[in-house]
Amino acid sequence: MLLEATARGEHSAFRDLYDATSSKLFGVVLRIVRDRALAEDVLQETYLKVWQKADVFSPAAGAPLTWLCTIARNRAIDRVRASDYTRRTTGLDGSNDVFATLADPAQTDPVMLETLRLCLSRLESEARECVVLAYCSGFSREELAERFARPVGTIKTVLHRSLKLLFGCLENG
Amino acid sequence: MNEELEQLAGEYVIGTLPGAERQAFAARLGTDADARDAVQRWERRLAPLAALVPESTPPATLWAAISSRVGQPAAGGTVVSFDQAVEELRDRYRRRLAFWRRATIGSGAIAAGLAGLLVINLSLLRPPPAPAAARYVAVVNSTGEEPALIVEADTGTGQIRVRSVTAAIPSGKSLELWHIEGSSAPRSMGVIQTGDQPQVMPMPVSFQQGAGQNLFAVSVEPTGGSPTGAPTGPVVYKGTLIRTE
Repeated sequence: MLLEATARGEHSAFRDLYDATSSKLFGVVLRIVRDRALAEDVLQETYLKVWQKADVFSPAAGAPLTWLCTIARNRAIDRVRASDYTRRTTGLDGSNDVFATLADPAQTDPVMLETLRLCLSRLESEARECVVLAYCSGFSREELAERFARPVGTIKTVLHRSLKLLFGCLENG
Repeated sequence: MNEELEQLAGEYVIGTLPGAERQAFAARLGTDADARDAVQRWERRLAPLAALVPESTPPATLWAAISSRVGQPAAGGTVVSFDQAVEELRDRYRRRLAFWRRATIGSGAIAAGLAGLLVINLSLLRPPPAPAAARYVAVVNSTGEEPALIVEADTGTGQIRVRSVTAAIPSGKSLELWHIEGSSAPRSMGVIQTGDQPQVMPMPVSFQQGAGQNLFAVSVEPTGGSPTGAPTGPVVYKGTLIRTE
């Protein structure tokens, strides 16, 4: 509803949308870019894009929040994969707490979350951490290789195998 | 199913494609509907993970930057009456709640999703202002929560009207409203009553002589108000005045 009103150019709806979602999106972006100034930049670009593209959002494609998170994550990852970006490596450790939250039954409610939790739990722990660290914390193959002391080629294989298993599990239960 | 495409789409979504490959795949999305569908499926499947990343409140200045770039001044608002403003704020709060309920996300996030400072600029329509009279409105809240009070000051009538929106009075305590002008000491405006009727308080003389940097703050005090004439308890809400006329 807020997105639809935003698509019609209703500034107050856009404001409400920002109020309702900016902390979530900022959290997502900050975790990936690890720099507040850059995260603010990315968040600003994200909402400008939302303002411009709200009319192409289709409710059939998923929840509004999923759409917003996708835009924010894409912008953030584009930045950290750009050739001129040097990531601050400090604070890049211990990030599988997200999966810990995911595995906490008190936090689960939607069916999709339950399904994803189940499918992730079928991966070996290192493979699962690779997927979660990449998705939630923006780890590149190289950073994952460093973290797990594996060759980059091995990480690539682990990711491919994990995605294949996840695909099968998520599609077929 | 095209396994290679699923792999590429999956790596694109989790973000591990190296820069050049990522750019190439992003370009392909512009023309390849199958690739777009594959990406969208991965995004939907993995979205619950993003929903669980801890929130972080962006700086309050960010909205102003965004707002100014979409063709609206940061404090832009509609012209409404005081009563309408109260309704609008309540409505805004309800809609935000509704948005989060629909967003299929955990209950912790609902509370956190309410974060964000509301600033509105109101023009008050009634009654016609006396010459040289100025009106001001402050939306008084605590950072990251919905508005607690709306304070309207009218130098034409010499009155301050306070309307409670969501202010909660701790049991056995009173909430006291303070006016702080510039760097001078807080001046008590009175103890806040909750209820639907606006509460009228006399305006300080200093205020009528010209509102500079005006701040309203609400502190928790013993029942009946501060015994000392200065705030003794924690400040739970605050807001600055915005000139509306």
